[in-house]
Amino acid sequence: MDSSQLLKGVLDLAVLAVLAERDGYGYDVVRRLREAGLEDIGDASVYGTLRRLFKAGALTSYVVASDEGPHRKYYGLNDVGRARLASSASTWTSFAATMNDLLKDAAP
Amino acid sequence: MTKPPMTPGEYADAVRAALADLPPDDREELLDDLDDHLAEIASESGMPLEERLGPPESYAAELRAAYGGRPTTTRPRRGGPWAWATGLIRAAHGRLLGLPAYREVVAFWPELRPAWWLVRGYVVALALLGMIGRGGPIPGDLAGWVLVVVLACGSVWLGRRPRLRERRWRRTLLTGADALAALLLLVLLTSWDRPDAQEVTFASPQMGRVWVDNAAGLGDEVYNILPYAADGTPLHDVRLYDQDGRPIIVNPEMFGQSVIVPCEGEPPIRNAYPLPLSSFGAGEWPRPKPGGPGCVPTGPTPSASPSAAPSVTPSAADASATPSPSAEPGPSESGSAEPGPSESGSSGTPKS
Repeated sequence: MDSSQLLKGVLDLAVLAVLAERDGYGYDVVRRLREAGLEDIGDASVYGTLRRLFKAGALTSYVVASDEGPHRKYYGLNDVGRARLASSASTWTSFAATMNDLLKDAAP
Repeated sequence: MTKPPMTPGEYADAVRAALADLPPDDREELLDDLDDHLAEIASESGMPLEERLGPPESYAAELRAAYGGRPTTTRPRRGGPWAWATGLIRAAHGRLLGLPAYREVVAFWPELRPAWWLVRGYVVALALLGMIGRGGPIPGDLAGWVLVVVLACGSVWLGRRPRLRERRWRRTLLTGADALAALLLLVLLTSWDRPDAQEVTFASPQMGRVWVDNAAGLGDEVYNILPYAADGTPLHDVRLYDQDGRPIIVNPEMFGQSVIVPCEGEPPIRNAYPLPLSSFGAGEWPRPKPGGPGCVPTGPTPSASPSAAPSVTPSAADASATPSPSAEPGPSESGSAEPGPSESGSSGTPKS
């Protein structure tokens, strides 16, 4: 099964979870998601998701000037983002539990 | 011919070009810090951007999919007021999610859905009963209750099948039905607010229909009252009120009778008895005739004036017959009926 298909449905949740840990800029979020094991994640997908969540009012953003490289736009969760994370997380948890139940006997 | 690797700026421009069909505001919103982002990636690794991220066009397609949630490159534009309104509601929802109280409501809202399914079925059943003339907030008989139970069960059955909502047209249909049921519920609740209001129809198109608030009725059998004094003298213009001071109103219109409205002077008072009535024939509802007189000239026909109404009295003149004059008015009043009032009156339906 192509995990990138699965990822599409939970990309928002993954990005919100990473940002709940601490604020991050675009490439930083990509790197942290890959380090967490989502190696197939596309850079553009993460960037587009960040912009969409920001537009939806779930994220704050601020620019940090950097000495050696370009300016970095950091994103963090606000109350809306935290609420969305909480509700998405509970949806995911129950969904995952259902799937685990289903696969309990099927999995080797 | 080989091209040199793209700089972050060139790559970003190529992505912009690939997203040229987006509205400019949307595109700038999406690509706000793309240049910095790409520069970051370029500085982290020596690999050319095209090798690392793929061609700008596919990067743009992925961006579009992630940003708009749609995988297609040609985004079907659904403009118009509907899209605008749903966008507005979504934005408001997003803002309101910041409020803890709103989050609470959103959290327990799904648990209220079964209650809504029941209410929905009940309301639709009442609407159907109302259409066959058995209105009221509570079904009056067994058949009505059976209908209520059947529709409530059907509504819950529908609600428990979320897969029905997978098809777009079904979802639209069900949402429309829900909205209609909510509207009906609102109508039902507001009509509960004025249970005492009665619709009163005058036999004159000028008067039209009048709502008399807080009126008392006498049930379904009485449509006029003929008061007599102890010595048998018929009384005129007797004002009747119930124990709470509410005027007692009857509905002669339900019995093929209408209140005669004189052309001059005040319209008759609806709780001054006996009412001046004229019959317009059983089963026939008076229709206003265009250009026809909407009232009764007071001059030539004395029976048209309220005080002269009891042309019914002769047959009821013996005092012993006083309790049962209601049997008489039909024939005796038809004599006093003028063509005027019978062709005038309201065009509304009788209301009990």
